[in-house]
Amino acid sequence: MTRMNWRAGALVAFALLGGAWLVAESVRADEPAASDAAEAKDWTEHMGKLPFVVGREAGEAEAEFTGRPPMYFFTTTW
Amino acid sequence: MAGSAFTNEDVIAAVTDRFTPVLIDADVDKKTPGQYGASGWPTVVFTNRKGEALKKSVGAVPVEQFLATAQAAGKDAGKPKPSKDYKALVTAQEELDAALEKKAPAKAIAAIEKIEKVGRKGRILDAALAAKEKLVAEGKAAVETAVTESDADPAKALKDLKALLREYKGLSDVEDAAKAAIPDVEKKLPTDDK
Repeated sequence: MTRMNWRAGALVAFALLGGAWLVAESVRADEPAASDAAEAKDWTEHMGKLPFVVGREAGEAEAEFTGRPPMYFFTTTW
Repeated sequence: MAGSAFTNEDVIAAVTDRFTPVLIDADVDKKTPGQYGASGWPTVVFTNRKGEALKKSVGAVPVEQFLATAQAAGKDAGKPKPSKDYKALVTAQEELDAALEKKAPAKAIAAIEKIEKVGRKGRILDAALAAKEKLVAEGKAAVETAVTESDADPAKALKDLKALLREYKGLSDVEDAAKAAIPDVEKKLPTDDK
């Protein structure tokens, strides 16, 4: 009986640990990377009708592609 | 600033003609503003291809003042030097716009294929994919119309379906729909026409 309880306890512990690991992994996968944080914000009101690229890296790549240097618009959401 | 200057047509033209508008979230990127001496928001810095600051506009300024700054910076920046891929993309976009206006699916599909070949994510590719989706819907609707009208005039319907196969070549959804419809329409033809 004691042996059965021990086995049952081990199974429950294993299941709980597995569940906790799965939850941790899913949370990690949903967390935006720091570079994506700016893109995730709604900049519509800031942008007006200008076709802005968000973020320096993406902006520089676009600038090189189009041959037009960056016009940096530094702003924040308050 | 954004509420007025960035919706002004002259400002939009002056900026997009010479610059790539890049929004930097100062909450996230704390390095770049410092490199360009920006410490208050909003601040706009126009740069040249070497990454050097040409002109700066700080805080909320009148539209006319911002336009003058953008135009002066544009003169300093000089004419754009686009990559070959960008030139190809813009040319294909112009071809696509013209084809859509003339309702010429075959030419539109050819232009979309060129844009897809460049394979660069962005507004031009997004617009091309949206146009492709619309063409598929139009093509499939045209096939359905031909099938519906085939009871009255199967010969004309067959001709229309074959024309759709040519016009929408490259759009497998439309091609498949037309190919699937043709045998049924052929069955409706008078014996002499088969």
